[in-house]
Amino acid sequence: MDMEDDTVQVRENSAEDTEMLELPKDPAEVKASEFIKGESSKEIPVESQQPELPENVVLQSLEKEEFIIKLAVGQQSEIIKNAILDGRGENPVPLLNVSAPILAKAIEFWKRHIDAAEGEDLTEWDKAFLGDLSQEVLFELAAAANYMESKSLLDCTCKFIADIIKEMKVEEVRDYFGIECDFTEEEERKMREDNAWAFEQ
Amino acid sequence: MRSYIEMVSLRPETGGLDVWFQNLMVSSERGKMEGAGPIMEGWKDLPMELLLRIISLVDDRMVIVASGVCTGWRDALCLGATNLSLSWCKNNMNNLVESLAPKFTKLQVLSLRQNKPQLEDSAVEVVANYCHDLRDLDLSRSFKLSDLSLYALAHGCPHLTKLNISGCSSFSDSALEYLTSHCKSLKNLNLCGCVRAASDRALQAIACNCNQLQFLNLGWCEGVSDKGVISLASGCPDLRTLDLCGCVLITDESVVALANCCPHLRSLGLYYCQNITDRAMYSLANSKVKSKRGLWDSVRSSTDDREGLMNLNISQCTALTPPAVQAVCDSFPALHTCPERHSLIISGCLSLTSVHCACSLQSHRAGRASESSHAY
Repeated sequence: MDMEDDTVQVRENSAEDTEMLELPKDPAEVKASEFIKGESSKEIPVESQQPELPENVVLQSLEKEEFIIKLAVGQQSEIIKNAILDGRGENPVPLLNVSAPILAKAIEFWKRHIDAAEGEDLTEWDKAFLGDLSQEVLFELAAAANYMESKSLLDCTCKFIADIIKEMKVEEVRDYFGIECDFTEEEERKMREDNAWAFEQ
Repeated sequence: MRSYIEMVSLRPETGGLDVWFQNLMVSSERGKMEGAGPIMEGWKDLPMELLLRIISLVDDRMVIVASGVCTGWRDALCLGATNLSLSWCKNNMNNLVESLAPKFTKLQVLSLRQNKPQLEDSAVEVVANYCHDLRDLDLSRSFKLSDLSLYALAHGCPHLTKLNISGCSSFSDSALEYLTSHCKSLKNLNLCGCVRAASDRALQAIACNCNQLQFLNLGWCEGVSDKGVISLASGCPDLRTLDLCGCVLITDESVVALANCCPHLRSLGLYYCQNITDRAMYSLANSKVKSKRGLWDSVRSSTDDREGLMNLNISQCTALTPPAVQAVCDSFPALHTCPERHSLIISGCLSLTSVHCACSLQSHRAGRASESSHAY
């Protein structure tokens, strides 16, 4: 499991570094400064009237570890997208419910999906990507996708899990996921009855 | 907090992710991070919306399996499941409904359509006793049910907006009347084949109680006559789809009433209504003119394909003549005779094959091979 260095950089959170971060500019500021400089006697083009979007986004995991990614990659999560686009300039974006290795995996997924060619079918790649993960990581990744509101990752992980449990019966699901039965005897009996009816064809 | 950072700095770069994870899970018990969500200890703590999403990708039988895995999953599903279908159940639907309904109290949509009639009144009573949020219920082909079921539903499920009891030939019209007096929000009612239940009396009750009705299927309800349909037209001005196929008693009066009172009518089925004459057709054609209120309305509705009749079935209405039907076709641009969007059904009416929608005429003029006028 290699961490690709070209787009995902993990940095320590240090004082000097924050000055290098590109923060979205306040639109009023942009207009005023251009006016003062006297550079534009022509009309300010529409694009510069919108808040400038940073090229890179900084994400902060549960452990306060930071990841720098391209904006397009991060926009696959609604939480990240909203944090950037609503102009609050919240940078880094805190993702307190997501631990660093899980966030790294999510980023790996998003990056692959952004880099995909037009109409490229990624189902095989997705399956291999998720199939490589242990159950615990899969669980955490699904939960993280849910929390970060990333439709692409959520759909993928849920479908993967759904396919695993498709034909399973109660005991098999418990076994596979290591879940202990915590029903009373009576509840367990009723459950078995229901399942017997459901599977009798 | 320190223990986390230590763990992170020891994070291996390859392979050891699982080990790292195990260590993190252990250390999490020593203290929670501020701002972090509840620590999930494993699959039994899967968040409800996540579990629901996964199960919805499998099938409804999986709902039963999953709710039997552990209390966490059961509670999540019983709280969150709003749609359930047991139509796949070949033999034990009755038992399952009686067992599951008390748990799945948040159900809004429930399908109990049967291929082999299994459902009994006791099961419907359980549904009515526990699933008070029910909006959409499909009981089609429940041959074994009696009026007791309708009475139970009237009391337990007053918020019903969609009810399908097609094929339930045992229900009486007084029980249906009773139901409509309690379930006043009904928008969609399927009474196809309910010969006993769908009488003029019942239609009058529906007209009185269910003013929001939009879709009504009275297919093969031979007892329906003009009296019932006229009441319906005046009581349910929002009607969009009405199927009167096989309602052999009705005459032009019914269609005239519908044309006058139901401006939103999109789909009308008159298959086998052999008393229908050109008068009914002209009343439909002219209703379009009458409904124009102002200049803006008329401009909009003349170009808006979605307004006015989109489907009309006049198969076996052998008294109709081409000019009358053509007038309807001309009034409603959404009615089509062209093969791609065939929505004016004239099976068995050999004399009507000359009727064409505007697009068939255009393609004819464009010099393409003329469409074969085919009667079915």
